Amino acid sequence: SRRQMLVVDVPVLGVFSLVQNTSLADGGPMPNSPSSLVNQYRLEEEEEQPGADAKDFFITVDNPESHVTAIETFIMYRVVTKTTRSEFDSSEYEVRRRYQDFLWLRGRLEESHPTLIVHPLPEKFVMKGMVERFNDGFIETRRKALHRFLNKISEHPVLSYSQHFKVFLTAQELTSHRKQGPGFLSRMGETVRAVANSVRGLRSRPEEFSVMQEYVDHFSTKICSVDKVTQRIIKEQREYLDELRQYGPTYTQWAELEEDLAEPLKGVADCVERCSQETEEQIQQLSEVLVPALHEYVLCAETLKVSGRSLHLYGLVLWAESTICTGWFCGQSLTSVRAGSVGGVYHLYRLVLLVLWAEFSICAGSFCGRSLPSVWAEITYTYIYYIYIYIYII
Amino acid sequence: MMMADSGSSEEVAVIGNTDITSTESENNIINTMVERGTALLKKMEINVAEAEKRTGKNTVNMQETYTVYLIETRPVEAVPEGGTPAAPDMLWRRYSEFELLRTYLLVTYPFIVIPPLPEKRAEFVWHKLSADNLDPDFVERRRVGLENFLLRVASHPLLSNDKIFFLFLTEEKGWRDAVLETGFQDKVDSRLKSLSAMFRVKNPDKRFTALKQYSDELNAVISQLLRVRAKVADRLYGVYKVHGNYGRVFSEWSAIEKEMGDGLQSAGHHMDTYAASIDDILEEEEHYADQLKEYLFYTDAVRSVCKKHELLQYELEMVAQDLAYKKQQREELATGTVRVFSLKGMTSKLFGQESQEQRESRLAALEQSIQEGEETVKEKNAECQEFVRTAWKDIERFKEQKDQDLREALISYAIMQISMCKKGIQVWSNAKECFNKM
Repeated sequence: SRRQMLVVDVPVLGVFSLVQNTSLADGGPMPNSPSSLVNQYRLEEEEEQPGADAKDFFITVDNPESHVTAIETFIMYRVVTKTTRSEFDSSEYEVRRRYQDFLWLRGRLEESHPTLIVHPLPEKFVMKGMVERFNDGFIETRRKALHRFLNKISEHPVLSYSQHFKVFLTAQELTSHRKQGPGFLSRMGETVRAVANSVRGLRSRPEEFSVMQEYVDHFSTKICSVDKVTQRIIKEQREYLDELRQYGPTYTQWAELEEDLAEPLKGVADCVERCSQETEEQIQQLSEVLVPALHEYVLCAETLKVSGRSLHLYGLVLWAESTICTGWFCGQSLTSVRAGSVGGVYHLYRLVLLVLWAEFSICAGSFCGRSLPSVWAEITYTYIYYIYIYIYII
Repeated sequence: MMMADSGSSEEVAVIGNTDITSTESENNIINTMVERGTALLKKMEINVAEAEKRTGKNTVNMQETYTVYLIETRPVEAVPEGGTPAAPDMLWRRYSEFELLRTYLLVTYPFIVIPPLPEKRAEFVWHKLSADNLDPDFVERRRVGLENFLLRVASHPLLSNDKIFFLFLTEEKGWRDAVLETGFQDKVDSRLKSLSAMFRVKNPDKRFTALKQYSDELNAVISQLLRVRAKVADRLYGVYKVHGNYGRVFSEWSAIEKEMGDGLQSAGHHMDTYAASIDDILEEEEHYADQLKEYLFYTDAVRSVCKKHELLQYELEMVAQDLAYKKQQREELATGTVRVFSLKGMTSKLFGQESQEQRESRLAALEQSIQEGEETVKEKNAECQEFVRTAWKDIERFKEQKDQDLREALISYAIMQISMCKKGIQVWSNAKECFNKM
C-alpha cells in the first residue's frame, strides 16, 4: 500500500510521520484535504479532526492587530490555548504573537527534531501579484495558515511535547526566551546525536530511502505544476472578466435605440451582468481557497525535499566520522594522534575534504528553488558541524 | 459566458423548450421566410448546397483561385408515395456574381431595403479564426450567408418577381448578358452620387431623418457588440485551454501515485474534454455573430434608401427653386422692375432698353420654360411622393422583420449559453466524482 511507501518501519525514524497526518488517502474529511475543498468552496475553520476525543489541545489564532513602534510596524495575532495536558500549569492561556515568533518556534522545532517534518509556515514575503503586506486578504490568509500550523504541531505525537512549543503558547513575553537557550555547541551535539541514531537505522535500508526521495521529487514537481496551472487559470479568468464587463453595457446601449427589442436586449444585459458577478466570485474562491491549500502542499513537499537532502549531508558526515574514527583509532593511541603524526593529519585532512565535498554537492543541488537565507543556514550548520567533529576527534 | 446555476426555474421556463439547438432555432427563421410565401417560394426550393475551389484566368490573364457555390433549385411539389423527389436544377456561381446581382437590385429598386451579402472579408475575428478567404470554416459560413441572401430576396413581395433574379437562379451562362442588357449600369453612377454627396436638404421627410439617425446608431452599436464579443470569445478560449494543462499534469501525476492514480487519471481526462469543448462552443457562437452581422450590413441598405430619398428631395427642391426664380423673372419682365440681377438687365441698362419685340419674345420663351418647369416639378413631386410611399412601406416591413429575427437570434443565443453551461456542469460533476473517489 501507498502508506508503506512513505513510512519506513523504523521506530526511531519519525521522518515522514508528519506526512501521515496530511496524507490524502486518510479517512475522514480533513480541513485541507481535497475532498473537503471540492465539496465545499467555503473554508471550514472549525473542522472536526479525526480522533477528536483524543485531542488535548484547542488552539486558535485570531484578532490580527496592527502594532506600531518607532522602528517598525507589524501585525500581532492573538493565540488562545485550551489544554488538558498535565505539563501545563493552567488549562487556558492567551498570548500575543507576531510572525517572527512563529518563525522562531518552527526553527527551534526543526533544530531539535531534525528528522521530523515540521509543518511549513506561510511565506515570509509577499508573492508578486499582491500589492501590500497589510492588505486585508493577505493578513487573513496568513492568519489561517498560522492557525493551521499551530494545530498541526499540537497534534504531533513528538513535537507537541516540545519545550519550545510550550513556551510559545504560554509565555507572555517571548523575546527573552528567544535570546536564551542552551549553548550553540551543546545543541549541535544534541542534533548530531539524534541524527546519528536515526541514520544508523536508515543506512540499512538504502533502497526504500531512495524510492522515497524519488517520490518526493516527483510529487513536488507535480504539486508545483498544479499550483502554477491554477494561478494561470485565475489570471485568464480575470482577463475574461474584464472583457465581460464591457460586453453587458453594449446591450444596454442597444436597448436604448429600440422599441420592441428593448426588453429582450435589456434582459441579455442583465444576464451578462450576473455572469460577471459569478465569475468574480469564482475567481475569489480560487484565490482564497484553492491556491493557499495547494501552496501549503508545495511548501510541504519542499520541506520534505530539504529534510531528505539534509539527511544526505548528515549521513555523509556521520559516515565520514565513523569510518575515520573506527579506522583511525585502531591500533593507535590517543597520544600519538595528538602528537600530530603524519598519518593522523592525513586522516583528518581526508575527513575535512569529505565533509567539504558533501557540503558542496548538496548545496550545489539545493540552491535551486530555495531562499538564500535557508541555504546559508545550512552551510553555517555544516561548518559548525565539522568544526565540532574536529574538536571531538582531537 | 459561464452562468452559475441560478436555481430560479421561472427564468428558464420563459425560454420554453431549451432542448432545441441553436441551428434548429436558426432554421425557424428560414422557415418563417418560406412561410411568408411569395409566389416564387411557393413554386421552388432554393439551396446553396456546396462550395468548391476553382482556378482560372482572371481579367488580367493571371491565375487565380476562387470559390464557386452550387445553387440548387427544385420545384415544390408533392412527392408520390414510394417515389423519389425530382432532381434539382443546379448551377455554379461565384461571389462576384452575387455582388453583380445585388448592385442590379440596388439600382433597380432604390426604395427597397435590399438584403445584404455576407461579408467579403472576415472581420471581427477572434484569434483562432483565420481571416483567410479560402479557409474552409469561412467558406462554409459564407455559403450559409449566400443561401440566406437568396432566400431573403425570394421572400420579398416585390424582389421575388424580378426577372433577372429568376435568371440568376436558373440561367448559368446567359445571365451576365441579360443583366448588362438592362442597362442598369448607367444608373449606378447616380446611385453612387446619392450615397456620397453632401447636400443640404431643406424639407426632408422627418421620418427618414429619424430613420437615418437610427440606422447610423444601430450600425455603431452592433459594430461595438461584435468587437467586444470577439474579445470575450478570445478570453474564454484561453480559460478553457489552460484547463487542459490540468489534464496533462494529472495524467503525469497519476503515474507516480498508487491509490490516487486512477482517480487522477480519470479527472485528467475530464479536464481534457473540458478544454476541447470550447472549440465547438465558439463555432456555434459564430452563427450568432453572423446573424448580427447581417443586420449590421442591413443598416447600410437602410442608409442607402434614406440617402436616395434625400437626393430626390434635393432634386425636387432644386427644380422648385429654379421654377420660382423663373417666375420671378417673368414678373420682373412684365412689370419692368429689375429686382433680380441679370446680364440682360445690365446690358439693357447700359445699352438702352430693348425693343418691345425682343421683350415679348423673351417673355414667351420664359413662359414656355415656366410651363416646362411646372411639369417637371409636378413629376418630381410625384416621384418623390411615390418614393416616400413605397419606401416607407418597405421600411415598415423591414422593421417588423428585424424585430422578429433579432428576437429569434437572442433566444437561440441564450439557448446556446444554457447548453454550454449544462455541458460544463456535467464535466465538472464527473471530475468531482473522480476526486471524491481518490
